[in-house]
Amino acid sequence: MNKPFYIEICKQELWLLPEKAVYWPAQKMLIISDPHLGKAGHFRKSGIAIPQSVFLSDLQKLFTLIQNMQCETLLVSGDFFHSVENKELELFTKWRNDFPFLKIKLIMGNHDILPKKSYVKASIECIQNSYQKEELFFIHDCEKISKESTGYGFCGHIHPGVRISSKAKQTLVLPCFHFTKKYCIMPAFSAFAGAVPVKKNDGDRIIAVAKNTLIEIISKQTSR
Amino acid sequence: MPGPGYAIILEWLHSNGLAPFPYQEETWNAIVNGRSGLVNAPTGCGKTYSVFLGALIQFLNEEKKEKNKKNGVRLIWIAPLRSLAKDLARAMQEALNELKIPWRVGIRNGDTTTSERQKQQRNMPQVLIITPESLHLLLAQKNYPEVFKNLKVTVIDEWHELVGSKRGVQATLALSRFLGMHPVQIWGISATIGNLQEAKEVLLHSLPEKEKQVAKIITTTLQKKIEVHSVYPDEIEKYPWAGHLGIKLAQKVVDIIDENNTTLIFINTRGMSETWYQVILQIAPHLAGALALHHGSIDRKLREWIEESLHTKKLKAVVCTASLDLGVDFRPVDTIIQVGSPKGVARFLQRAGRSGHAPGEISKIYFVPTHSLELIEVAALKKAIEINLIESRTPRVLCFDVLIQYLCTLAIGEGFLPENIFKEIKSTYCFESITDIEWQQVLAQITNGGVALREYDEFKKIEIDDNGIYRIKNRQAAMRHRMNIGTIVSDSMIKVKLANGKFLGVVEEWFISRLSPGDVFTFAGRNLEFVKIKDMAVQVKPSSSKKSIVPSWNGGRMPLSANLGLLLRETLNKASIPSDSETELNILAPLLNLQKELSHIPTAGELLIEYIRTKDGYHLFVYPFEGRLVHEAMASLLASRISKIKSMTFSLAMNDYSFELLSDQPIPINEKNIYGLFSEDNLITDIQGSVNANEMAMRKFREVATIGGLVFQGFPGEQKKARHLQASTSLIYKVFEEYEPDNILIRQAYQEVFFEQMEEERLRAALQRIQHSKIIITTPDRLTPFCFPVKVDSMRETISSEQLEDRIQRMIAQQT
Repeated sequence: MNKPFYIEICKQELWLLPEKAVYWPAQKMLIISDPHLGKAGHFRKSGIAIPQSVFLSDLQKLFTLIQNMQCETLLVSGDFFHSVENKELELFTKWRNDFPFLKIKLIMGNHDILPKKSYVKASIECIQNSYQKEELFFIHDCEKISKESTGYGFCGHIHPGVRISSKAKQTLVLPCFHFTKKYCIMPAFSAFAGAVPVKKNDGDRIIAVAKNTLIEIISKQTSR
Repeated sequence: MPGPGYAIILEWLHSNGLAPFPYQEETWNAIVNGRSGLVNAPTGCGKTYSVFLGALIQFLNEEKKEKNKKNGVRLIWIAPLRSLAKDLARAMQEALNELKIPWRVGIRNGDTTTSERQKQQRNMPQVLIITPESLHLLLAQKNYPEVFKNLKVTVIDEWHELVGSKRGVQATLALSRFLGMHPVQIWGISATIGNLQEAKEVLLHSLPEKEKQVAKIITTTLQKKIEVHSVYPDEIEKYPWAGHLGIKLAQKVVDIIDENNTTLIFINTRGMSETWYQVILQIAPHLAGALALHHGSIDRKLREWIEESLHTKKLKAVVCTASLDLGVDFRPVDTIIQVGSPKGVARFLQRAGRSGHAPGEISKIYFVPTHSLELIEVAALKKAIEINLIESRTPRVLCFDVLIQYLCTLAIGEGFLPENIFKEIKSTYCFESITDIEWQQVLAQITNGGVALREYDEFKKIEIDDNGIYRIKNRQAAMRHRMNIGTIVSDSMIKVKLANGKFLGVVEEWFISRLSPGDVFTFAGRNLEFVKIKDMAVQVKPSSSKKSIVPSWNGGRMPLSANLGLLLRETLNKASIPSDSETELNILAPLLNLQKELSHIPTAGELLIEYIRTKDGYHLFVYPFEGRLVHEAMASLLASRISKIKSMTFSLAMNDYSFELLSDQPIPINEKNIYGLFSEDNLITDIQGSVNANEMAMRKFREVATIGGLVFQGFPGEQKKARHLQASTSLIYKVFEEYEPDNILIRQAYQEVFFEQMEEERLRAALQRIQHSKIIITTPDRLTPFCFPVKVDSMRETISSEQLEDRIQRMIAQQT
């Protein structure tokens, strides 16, 4: 396993993983966002020949993590599935049933539009809006965090990336964990999701995913 | 000439006070005899009549004349430009009416209305003027064999424009299909290019062997006279060494406009054309209302109005880009001004030819350099025109993206049998060398979508029916494909509108994405304030702000052609030997003397390298004069080879004359190792290890993937896209790169990078030339006139052999 990046939030120890996931040891909980399962299949069904191996690899990565971390709960912060039902979901359900003791909680994202029975079949607990545990809460879209909410949030939806530019016009965009004062935006778990450069405010922390490593990006302070 | 047709046509011409040119009669003869061929004539010499009247004579000669019945198309006229179509159609219809031939001329392209299309559907015109894209759309219809059953002649106009492009491949695929149904005569019309013979072979490649052998190139001896003037500053010392600063010559440009009737001012990029338009109006307010701005992003209606006003002499001058390179000829235009390097002899001649259009008139072109060194280019261009050294257009081969698109096109129409179509496509020049394995991969791509887990896969595009016919049955898939037909892949564009809804044009989405509300940018000749993005359009309001951002559109940068590079080196040769013959070189004398004093002026048999240390670091300037693309590859090659001697990272910059390697450490080069660094050995391996070939391939892949149907393009600013089917090309590229690297379209993207982007052949030739030249390394103590342009105005890229992680750490360390 690759080296985690340890972080403490609200007195909770959390491990950021280069697999674009967060592990919460105290809860034995694996947290991911935006896996968009079935996306390749959705494209293929429409005649766009995206390699199916991208889906397989995501699936493998997910279940390897679950196995290695010995986790009890998988919490998905939205967009578990990409679109309507397809056969790739059947494969997921088959795999899922090999882990009967694993609880799966899904905070419904804008892509999660499957009929209820599909979630039941895969034993997925669907949560509308947000989910709170200790001082932490989880939601799909940070824009929808209500003013009354307390504690620190984890969300997805945006597929955040960090643009690193330096001399000679070099630029690079990497998926990242974006920690703001009130919440963290997690990178999309899916390899078929990309990364959108985010705007960083003073005091934010950015932890970039560079293949198998996590690197904190500390930019020079701009003078005021 | 046998038959009654010739006499009828001749009489009609005479009644209009015209007489045929010998080359026209030669063409008529060949057409009447059932031949195919290529007509090589400059514009304004009756090239349209050469083929068109030939087809009419052929018709008039037929014994039983058909009435105006529903008998389908007889003559297809493929014209690459939409703007060309209307004028052509008008001229043809006039001739037909006067000759009392009961034919109709129809236009079919992206501008044709739906009702017009439906009318054509019911009753096809006998003459159809069409773009290659629209022709493929006709092949996507169910009844197309019926539509084309009486097709006798297919003409491709402006073949020189198509032969080196994927649109040309598209056109020849359509020809192969026609010939697969029944015999058709094929005619091309082309301006002079370096490889005219090859252009003919590409065009006629699918014809039966016998007919190919008798097909001829028919050339006219009519020649256009061209006058080239250069506009230069009064004091060269005050003229900038670099940068887009030709603006300082704007007063002289205004003088030229005032002295002549109608002037077209060609500017290389859309961004600079906006600037020039503003500047000319500022110093010459009297031109307000008589000066217009024309470029590809401006609303079509406005462009059409400008074109119409040029015909009717309402405009005194038009600032334009390549958007007016081709197309209709404007009689009133008597003067051309070219600002900045035209980058090639052919383009320069073509632009010159836009003036003095009537036969016998002289074309007049003024060259306005944007920096001092471009004056050398004028001298080189004059020489090129004198010795008629015109560039070749290299035909494309094995464009699998176009092939995949074509097969899907056929699949939504009549469907196809692979055995039959394989024979046809193999008859084209582009796919002559396709292997059975490649063909199977292409078929696999569209039938089962490459590698997948069968049990859990639902890939669906082409299905094979009981008779073995390949078809696309899904209506939505067919619809999406129809919208995607074409090989011109543009950046994704967004509409620019005023608050009242008035449409101003389109601009690249990425440009807008960098603006914040309140920013002012120049567009379509006015300053606009960015308000917001609404309904997939940019809402703007007029601004009186003096400061504004000029959009820098992509794709405006053409590399210098090999021919012009060669002539530049030869012209410089003269500069190193004092003489009085070349005006431009004399004007440049102070600058050239400084260059000589500080460093050296290379002769044609030398390669100059300048090694200069400044506060930025250690610069290595190399002057091969081979064009930006070759320099890009050569710079990466050199950088990677030097970093083998000593581990280091370079920042690279290049323009059409030279390239620069910049490093923070001393660069270990000397007379001993320098030839080895430019060696041709291990070229491909070294480049693959050096250039971010990956990133270049990714850029190429955008085009390949869009044409090949992996990305759904939609219309500019189109809102409705299929649900959950959006993904950026760079993302799709990354997925393929990692999960299916041997995909046929990924491989094509790499091929295109090596053979077209990096011009491997030219790169090799350049390296060979350098091996036989004398390499001169100088170490000036300050920057020289030669190195200035590349230092300030260039494309910059970096290559690095460091690990991703190290690279990020280093980049973070030097973040700006």
